[in-house]
Amino acid sequence: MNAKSRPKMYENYVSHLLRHQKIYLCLLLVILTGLSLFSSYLQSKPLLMGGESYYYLSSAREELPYHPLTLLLKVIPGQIAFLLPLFISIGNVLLFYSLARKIKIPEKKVFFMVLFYILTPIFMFSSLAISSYSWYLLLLLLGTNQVLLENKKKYLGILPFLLAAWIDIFSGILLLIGIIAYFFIAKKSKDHFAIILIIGITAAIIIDAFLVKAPFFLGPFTVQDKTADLLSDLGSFSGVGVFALLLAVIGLVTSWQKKYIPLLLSVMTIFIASFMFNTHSIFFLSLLIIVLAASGFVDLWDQNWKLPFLRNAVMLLLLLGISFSAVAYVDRLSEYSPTALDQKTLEWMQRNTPEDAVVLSTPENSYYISYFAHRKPAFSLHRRYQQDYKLSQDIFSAFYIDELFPLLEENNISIIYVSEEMKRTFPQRQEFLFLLQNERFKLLYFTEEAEVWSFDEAKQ
Amino acid sequence: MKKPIIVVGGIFLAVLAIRLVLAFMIPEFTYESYFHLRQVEHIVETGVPFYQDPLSYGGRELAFLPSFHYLAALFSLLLPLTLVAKILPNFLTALLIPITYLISKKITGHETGSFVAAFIAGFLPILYYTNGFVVNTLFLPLIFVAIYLYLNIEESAKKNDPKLMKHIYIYAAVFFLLCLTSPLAAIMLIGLGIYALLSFMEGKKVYRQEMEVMLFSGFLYTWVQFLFFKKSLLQEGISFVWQNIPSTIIAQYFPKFSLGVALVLVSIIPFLAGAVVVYRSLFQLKNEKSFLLISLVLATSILTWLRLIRFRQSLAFFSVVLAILFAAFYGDLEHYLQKTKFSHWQKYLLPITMFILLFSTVLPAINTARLQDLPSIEEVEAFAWIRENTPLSATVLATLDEGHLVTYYGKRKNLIDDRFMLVDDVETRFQSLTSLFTTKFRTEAIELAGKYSIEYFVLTPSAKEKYQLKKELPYITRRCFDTVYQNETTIFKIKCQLGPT
Repeated sequence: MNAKSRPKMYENYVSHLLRHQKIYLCLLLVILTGLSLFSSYLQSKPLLMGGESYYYLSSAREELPYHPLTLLLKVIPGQIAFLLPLFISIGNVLLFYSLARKIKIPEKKVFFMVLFYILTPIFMFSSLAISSYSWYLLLLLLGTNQVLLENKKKYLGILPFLLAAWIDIFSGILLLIGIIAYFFIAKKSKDHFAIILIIGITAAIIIDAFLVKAPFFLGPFTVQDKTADLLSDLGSFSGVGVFALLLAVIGLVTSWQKKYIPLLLSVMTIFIASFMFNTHSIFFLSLLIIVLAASGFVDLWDQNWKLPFLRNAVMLLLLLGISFSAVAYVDRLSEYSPTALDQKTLEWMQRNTPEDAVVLSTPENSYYISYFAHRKPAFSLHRRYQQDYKLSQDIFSAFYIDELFPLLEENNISIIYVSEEMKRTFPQRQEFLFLLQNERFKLLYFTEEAEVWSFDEAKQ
Repeated sequence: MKKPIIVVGGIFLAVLAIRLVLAFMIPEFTYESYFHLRQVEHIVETGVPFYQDPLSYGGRELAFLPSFHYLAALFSLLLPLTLVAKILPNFLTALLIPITYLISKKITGHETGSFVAAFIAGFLPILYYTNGFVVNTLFLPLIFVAIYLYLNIEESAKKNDPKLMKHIYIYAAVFFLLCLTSPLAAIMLIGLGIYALLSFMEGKKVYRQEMEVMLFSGFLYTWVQFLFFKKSLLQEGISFVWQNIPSTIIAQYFPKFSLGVALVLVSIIPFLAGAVVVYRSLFQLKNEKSFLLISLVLATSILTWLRLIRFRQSLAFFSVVLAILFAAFYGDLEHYLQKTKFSHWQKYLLPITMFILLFSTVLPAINTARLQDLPSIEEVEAFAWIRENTPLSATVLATLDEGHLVTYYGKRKNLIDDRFMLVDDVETRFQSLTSLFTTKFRTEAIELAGKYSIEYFVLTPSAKEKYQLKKELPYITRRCFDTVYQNETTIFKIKCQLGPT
């Protein structure tokens, strides 16, 4: 093969990849999710991950009857519920392709947006866990695709938008702002459809806020750490990789001269502010980051490089960096709770503890306690984050029983679940685990590394 | 032969000879060196470093960049490791002389000034830890080679020189090696960033090729560090930059800036001359050629101020930059003298400079080599005794500095050493170590020994000095401890253990 034919062949590969990107990227998404599911299956772990999944699963049994996701989970058999997140993710990808074709986003940019979406930790996680924001994105894309049809079919877009406005107040307001901006600023039209849509969404938000008393943000379901929650490479299970963030910075710099920069900056300000307020909203910020990262990557690629050798090296490094982040994340996902041991112990708890027992464990375990043990957990992060976070800190860092017992009594705690993770990370010779040696605690059950204790009432 | 080769070669050989004499005068190495010696030994035996160390901390995972160890392993295929460990670091440090000359010449174009700069680089007191077998000895020449190549790239881009691609390829290879040598390569990146900013502010053109090189360097560095330190990043989060150093000794690793110490270790003449050159380049002459070096100085200062790099490491880098800047100072001084009525004294400038440098640089350098912190021969013998006379599975208590002596000479597990990264309970271990050397209570000592399965206690004169122990550890009694080795260093074997009460 001569030197001239090599670039031609390379171009052929690229154009083939771009032409069939929908198939290749959906396949990649299925493979990555399948690997994690298979790994969980081999470890006998529950296939759904994360507190939010179990919040919805237990809500489907008792509370939140109005929520679209809980309604859906009532219909779907429990055994195949683990497939729901994957289908939502595939739906998001396919609907994005449809939208990209309608709004004419260049093929290359679409490819990298979807590739980065698939390889970004938070979105990888949302293919394995039920996430209301992933569901929101699906509804949003569905609605937008319909609305852009510009014929009678566009009225079908109202339903997904109304469902999307129902998730929490923040996402509802975000949707409303988006619709207003599109119709009145970008499109400059004030037709009936726009007005019906805006009134409908506003009504949905009002009902959601005042009648259903939905929270402003539905979350967080884990303890927040602002730095780590943004960058998955710093140890969290959410956020984006370092390379995606670096590329997003480049994307922002290269977009600086473009006319949509005020819009971009406004959206970014809203997402950063919401992230600072509640890290669960990282989903939206991550979406913006991957869009900017894809834009940065394509801009770098299309730049007129004086040194093509360095261009190829930089592109390769970037792709390797993002892929390594993703592979490392898939590897770590196998450690994520709930574990098989969590499930086994909590199911024991369901059979052997009083139904009205309040169970103490780390705040992250609360949702597993609700679902597997059918017991009331002591903490409920998504409802009272600050209060419960402080209480958990006070309980787990208490040095003396005089500090610990009043806290347990005030919160009617009668059962304690010490998970494998707690045994590994909590100090053994002081604080909570050490205080369990007191006679008021009784070991009810232990298996491998997990324990269940009871906390007896004080004798008068 | 050309004059620069003779002069620079002469300085190089003289400095190398002095360094080797100083190094061979003392048989031992600095405490940290023993970690690297062990790694090299393991590479020679197995082809890979000890990333799963069974002895350090009783068994742990390690994260470090291996290029220095591979280089040493390569040489130790030809020569015994102890010889390589003496020659290689001193040879690498002496290489700073020709590199300093080349950079000085490129920046100032002043030959005599560049010779003086090369001379200073050969006798910087901070670089006279001649018995240190440490990564910094490879890092420093590599980073200055990278700087020199970057200057070449800039020059070639300016002239549209066809040699540009050659410089790019060499730069890419050197920078890759630098990234594999030390995380401190970040100095170069931050320096390049400041350089771009400074050039923009002063209206100096930054060529597109330069920007491409900067971008490439940034991503390459991030990728390599991410590959090697991924686990510590995940485990320690953003605080991984402080290398998991126990909070009680972090101030010792990142001490506040001390002008006195800096003046002694960098040497007063290059320090003052450097300050003058930086001031004149930035505020008077707007000398664009020095921008890159000044940016590197600023980068080092910022990183030191933020306590992201160790004071001595930053001083080492800083001192070589100051040596290079001295060439500009010398050139300016010569030029200035020509304009005054003392112009006929110009011929004395070089001898006077050399005379001053002899006292302000050479003597402190030799003094630094003489006062290196090393274990004594007797201490080393005690650690070697452990290897022959204790069970293979034994854990040995020694001070933090001596941790690597336990693993290198003793081939036994230690409680702690100075590689803190990826250790979960480093704070607790450090507290336990301090307690074991300071407690008066036997029960506490026995309990801690039991917790970490420590069977042997090594008490060296250095440990006594460090913990201000007049004689022995206060809790040592015949009932619970056997003295198994007695010299200046004493080794005790623990006999008691706490039973259930």
